[in-house]
Amino acid sequence: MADRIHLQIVTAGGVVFDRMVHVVNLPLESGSAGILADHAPLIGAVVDGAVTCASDEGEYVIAVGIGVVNVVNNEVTVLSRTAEEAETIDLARAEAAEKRARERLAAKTADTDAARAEAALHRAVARQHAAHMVKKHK
Amino acid sequence: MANMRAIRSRIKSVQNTQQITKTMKMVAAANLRRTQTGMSAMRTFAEQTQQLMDALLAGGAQYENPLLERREDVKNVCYVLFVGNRGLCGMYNHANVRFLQQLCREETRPCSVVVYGRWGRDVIAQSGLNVIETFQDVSDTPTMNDALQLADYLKRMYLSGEADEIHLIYQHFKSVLSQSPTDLQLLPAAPEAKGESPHDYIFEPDEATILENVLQLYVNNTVLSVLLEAKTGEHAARMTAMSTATDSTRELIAALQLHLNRARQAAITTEISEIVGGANALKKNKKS
Repeated sequence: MADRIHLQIVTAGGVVFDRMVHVVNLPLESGSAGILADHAPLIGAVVDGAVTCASDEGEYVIAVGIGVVNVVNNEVTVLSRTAEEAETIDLARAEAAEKRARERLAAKTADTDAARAEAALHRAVARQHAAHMVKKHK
Repeated sequence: MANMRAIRSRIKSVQNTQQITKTMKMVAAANLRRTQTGMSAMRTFAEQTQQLMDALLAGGAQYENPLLERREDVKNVCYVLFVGNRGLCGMYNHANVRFLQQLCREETRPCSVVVYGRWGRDVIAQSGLNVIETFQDVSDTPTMNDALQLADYLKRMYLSGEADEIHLIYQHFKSVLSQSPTDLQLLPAAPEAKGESPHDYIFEPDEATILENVLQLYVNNTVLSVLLEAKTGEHAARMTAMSTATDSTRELIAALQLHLNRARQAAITTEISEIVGGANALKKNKKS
């Protein structure tokens, strides 16, 4: 029985993450879900959040945007709008983005695109969260 | 003698031009390589998206989704015209504009145009196209972020009802030497299931939500791939054009060099005959 999963995180810009891991935690629409080896085939909707995984070399945190995950035959493929390893996240920029989005939501003028501002807010919060998670691990 | 000086300065100036065209060719070649790498980096993503589509659409399943739904009453067809950031790339930009003009003429429904690229503000303004928006800030080697910006703008326009159909007009990249203008319908999306899915999937939370996410990715992905293809075509066209230009400058320089040599030879011949003539005249004077 296999005890490793091949985790790939892919955006249209290329493959961001590609490793053999023991366990993957995914931010799904219905809450966080842990995937172990020999999971049943699953297609899930991924929301803004952090994918965490543990391999022999250590733990990794990757911030992802909305997308889809495909689990089949110990291959976990996350297709996402954006993805970046949490270590490379610029925390100051994410905080600034959160502030901007909050201001835009608070201002609520006629031409504010509320859905768009909210999406930006979600993204900024998720990225900060992922960045903090890495710090805690170290 | 003045003639020789003129030819020399002419050669100098052609040489300068040649240097510029040569450099532009090299820059285009470097950009071309970069966009082609981008195109191949996308392949994994495109394949995976297709797999998911297959799983979702297997067995002819039908879903209701605003991005898929065809609108019966089309009030506005939006064309996105991809042009380069500058000219000097042969017929690349002109062919695209002419193709779109043709389309608009045949289209009976009202249409509007979004221009993506810095080239030809004046030309496009005179072409009689109904331009509603121009994206000026376009990178020569587009990345995901550029594509997301455009994709989000188009999705917003579509969902808000400003446009009922969105088409992308770009140069399809066949090879470095050959591109042809193409019309690709972006929205409403018409994804196709290419095969049956071999697995019995669990859907979490449900098919409709997942389809929405896949469609979002599908649209982003399509925009990025078109963007890369258009840019690759542009760089290829510029490379070819500049290569031809460099060749013609070389020919021109050779022709001018020949003229220069002839002029120099003529000058020398005249000088010699003058000297000989003068010497003969002196001889005659001595004799007499």
